[in-house]
Amino acid sequence: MRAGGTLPRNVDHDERRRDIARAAIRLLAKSGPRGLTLRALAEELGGSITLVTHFFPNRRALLGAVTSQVIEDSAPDLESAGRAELPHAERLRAFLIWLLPTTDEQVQLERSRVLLSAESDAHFNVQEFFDTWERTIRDLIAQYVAPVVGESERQFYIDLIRIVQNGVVLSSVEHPKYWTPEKQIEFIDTLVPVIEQLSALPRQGSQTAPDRIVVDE
Amino acid sequence: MPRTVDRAARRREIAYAALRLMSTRGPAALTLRGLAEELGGSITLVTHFYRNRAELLEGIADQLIADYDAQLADLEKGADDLARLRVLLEWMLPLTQEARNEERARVLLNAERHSDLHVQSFFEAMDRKMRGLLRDRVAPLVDPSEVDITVDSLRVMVNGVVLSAVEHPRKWPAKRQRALLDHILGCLGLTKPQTAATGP
Repeated sequence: MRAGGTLPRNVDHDERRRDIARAAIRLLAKSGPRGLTLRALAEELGGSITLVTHFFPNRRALLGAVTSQVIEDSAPDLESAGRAELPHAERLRAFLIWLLPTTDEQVQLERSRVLLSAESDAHFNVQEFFDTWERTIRDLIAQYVAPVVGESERQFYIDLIRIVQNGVVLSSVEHPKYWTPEKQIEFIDTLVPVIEQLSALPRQGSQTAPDRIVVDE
Repeated sequence: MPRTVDRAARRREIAYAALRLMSTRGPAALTLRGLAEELGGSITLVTHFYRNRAELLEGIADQLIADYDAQLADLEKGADDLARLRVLLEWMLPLTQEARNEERARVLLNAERHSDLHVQSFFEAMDRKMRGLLRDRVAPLVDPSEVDITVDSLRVMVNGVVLSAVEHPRKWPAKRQRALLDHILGCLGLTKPQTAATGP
């Protein structure tokens, strides 16, 4: 098994880190957070445990790398979703679909993320992982939302998109047969015109506008 | 008759103790022995009513579902259609510490899929009830063709807040959840004054 999985001798440091992070993502998706052990990861890479610990001394460091790798690897899809020449509604649709778990791999990965809540212990601070992940995703949403929505409504739209994403994630983890990828896309197709309309029109009933949502990110 | 009442009351009491145990210590801690200790009795005290963990979890769902209508009827007294929807949604959100603990236990149940708990039946039963409640409140407010998508959207919104609040409890205090809810309902035309809920 060594031949297929061994890392080439002369690849640079960053590339090795990436390979290990990608292997960790495959493991997370395949066997969930509990399956992500140093031993299993070494096996997945066809190497020894020290190969992993040389780059990542603990699970915390490894999870940090998983976050940035997931984002980096999906960036090309995101770029095509964000192409400026596309009409606004189509960009919004593509962006939402990019955010949702519409492929088997994404479903597995989001499932692992949901299960991470159960993993917190003294050696492994999931809160830090959740915070990093949250910040990263919200930054991406903010970049998307900024040109489309006025400043006063921006925070609401970031919250809204993140809540829609999290809502579909939890729903599809609990009810995979109902929230199939097709159903999610159908849902987005119905939702996009609604959001479009909302961001184009001044909000109704603004005389009774709710408190501004105060967020400290 | 008194015997049946006692039995029902006892089942109820045990189911709520099981829910408390699961909320404070996670679904993995939901065992017959742990529950007997919690109740200060012997294990047969539990097994007389619930033979195993799966029956306990089923008992929790049955009990909660049986009590929801009465809880809501109490909260909804004197409310019109719009206010009933608002009351329901607020009731569904994890606004209190207790509710957050319960929702956290629910999220963690996903990790028990391969255990003896029959998690999927629990999720199905709860989702059916929640959707039924939403449908009932939404139906008088929107065009019949929009009922399904409105129910899906509101269910997704609640689940989205649940997952966010479980992962980031400090960032999602009750005030922020309520403000988001108001804003979304305002956008959907589902707040007073009733404008454009079904178009001009």
